[in-house]
Amino acid sequence: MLEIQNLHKRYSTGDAALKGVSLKLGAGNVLGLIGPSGAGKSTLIRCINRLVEPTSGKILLDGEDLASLGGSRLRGVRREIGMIFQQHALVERLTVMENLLAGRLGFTAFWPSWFRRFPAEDIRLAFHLLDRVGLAGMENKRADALSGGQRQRVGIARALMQRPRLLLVDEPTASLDPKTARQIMRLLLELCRENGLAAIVNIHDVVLATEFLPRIVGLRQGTLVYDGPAAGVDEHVLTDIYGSEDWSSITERMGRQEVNSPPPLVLVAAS
Amino acid sequence: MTATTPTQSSPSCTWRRPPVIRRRWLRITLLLAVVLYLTVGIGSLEVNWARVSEGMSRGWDFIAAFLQPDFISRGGDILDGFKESLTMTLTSTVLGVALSIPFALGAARNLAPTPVYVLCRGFIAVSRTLNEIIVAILLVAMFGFGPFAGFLTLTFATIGFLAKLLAEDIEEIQASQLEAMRATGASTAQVLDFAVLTQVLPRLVGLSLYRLDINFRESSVIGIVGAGGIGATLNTAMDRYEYDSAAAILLVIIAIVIAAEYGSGWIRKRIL
Repeated sequence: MLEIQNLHKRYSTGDAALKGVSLKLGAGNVLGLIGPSGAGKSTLIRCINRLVEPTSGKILLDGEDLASLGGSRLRGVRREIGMIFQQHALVERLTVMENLLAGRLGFTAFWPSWFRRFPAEDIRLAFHLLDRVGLAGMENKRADALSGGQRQRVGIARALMQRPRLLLVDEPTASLDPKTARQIMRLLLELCRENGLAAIVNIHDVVLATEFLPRIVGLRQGTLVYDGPAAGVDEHVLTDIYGSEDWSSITERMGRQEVNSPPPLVLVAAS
Repeated sequence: MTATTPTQSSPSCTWRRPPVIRRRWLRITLLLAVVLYLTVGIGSLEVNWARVSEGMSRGWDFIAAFLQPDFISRGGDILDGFKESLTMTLTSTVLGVALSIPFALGAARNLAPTPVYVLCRGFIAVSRTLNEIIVAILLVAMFGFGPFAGFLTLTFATIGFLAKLLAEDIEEIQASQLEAMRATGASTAQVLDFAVLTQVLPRLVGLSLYRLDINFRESSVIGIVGAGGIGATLNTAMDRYEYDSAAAILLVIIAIVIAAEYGSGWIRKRIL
């Protein structure tokens, strides 16, 4: 469904963030994007919904090139792509319900959204998702009154409010404790499976990535250096992605997991 | 080994913060120059002490006259003046705040394209450079004596004041919320509502109340140059040497400013 062809991004400062990245993602497939800080992970997923303008290359979503869209057509495509952010990016001073309904802004005219008059169908979906992510009864709390894990659940629910086809997930666990991080990853993957969503998950925790995500893509200095199953990530691959280091303790932990808990999802690799 | 690299066998045990001005002679010269300038400057002030002592007693007479405020004999004029001033204050604040919002959005670097940014910043700079009294003199010349000139003056000043401070606040909002709203496919107006307005609303309310306060005080000053309101009444009273009526006017101004102060504090506590 998503095909990226030879994507380049050079910032106005002259830094080349992406140097010809090509990638394919099938419907309902989930992939983990790993790589060192500054490798271009964030830039890559932000190019897809055009929060960052790509310099050249194509981004085909079901055959339509997103890189050349503008105006209302671009907004139309953004509605179909949900995004989940590192620091939740909730509207802090609004209630949980308003944050969820913000996911429907692309489908709502200005004045109804100004007066917070959303269709009954949207409100029903919001209550359903609130229940699904484990925040039932929290609709009138202000977003800044929630804990880190709760905020990320709101962030996930907001993205799902869009009824998206594709999820872009930017470091969903970066500011969470290990237990909450695992819960959030599990929830995220369950929801992807339930809704048949394709997702690209930016994540810097290699152990967490290989445990939850069936397919791993490694990025180094704007270039793709690995694209394959999580099980194929070994010392050599990690050295290719991050540079030389003694990786034995990480690969040991990854190996142990595969015996104890196989990845929860079995998905068809993209062709 | 050069003097700047300490030998490894004897680690240094003295350390001083590197001075801002590296060269010692320049540092001392600058300090001496400042002291010299201050001495010469203070010496050049001509104070006529005889005149000062005379003036002190005259000032005291003035204050003594103010100790018997007279609210009654010019009561009608005072009431009309205040009505005019309060009307001028409220209308100019409401209109000024409303007009300052588009200017603030245009003057925020993170939202506006460069040409719009330059235009809005330019307008704000002009509005803030021109003191209220100068604007009032110009507008009184254009529109004649009376509160309409005062209303326009205060509106103009409010736009510059509020747009500048609000723009700075908008530039400091969390970019992540802006990004998140854009990513949902929201229109520009919806992004401004959900991501920008929610973040700057407390500041907008606080600044508007503060400006209401300033506008009331300014309305009594620009009245002196003919722009209507209580300032005109005050000016007349002073011209007639009716210090008791002038004292009454000043007391009411002080009372209203204090009331506005408490009122805005109460509202701010409710909103935040």
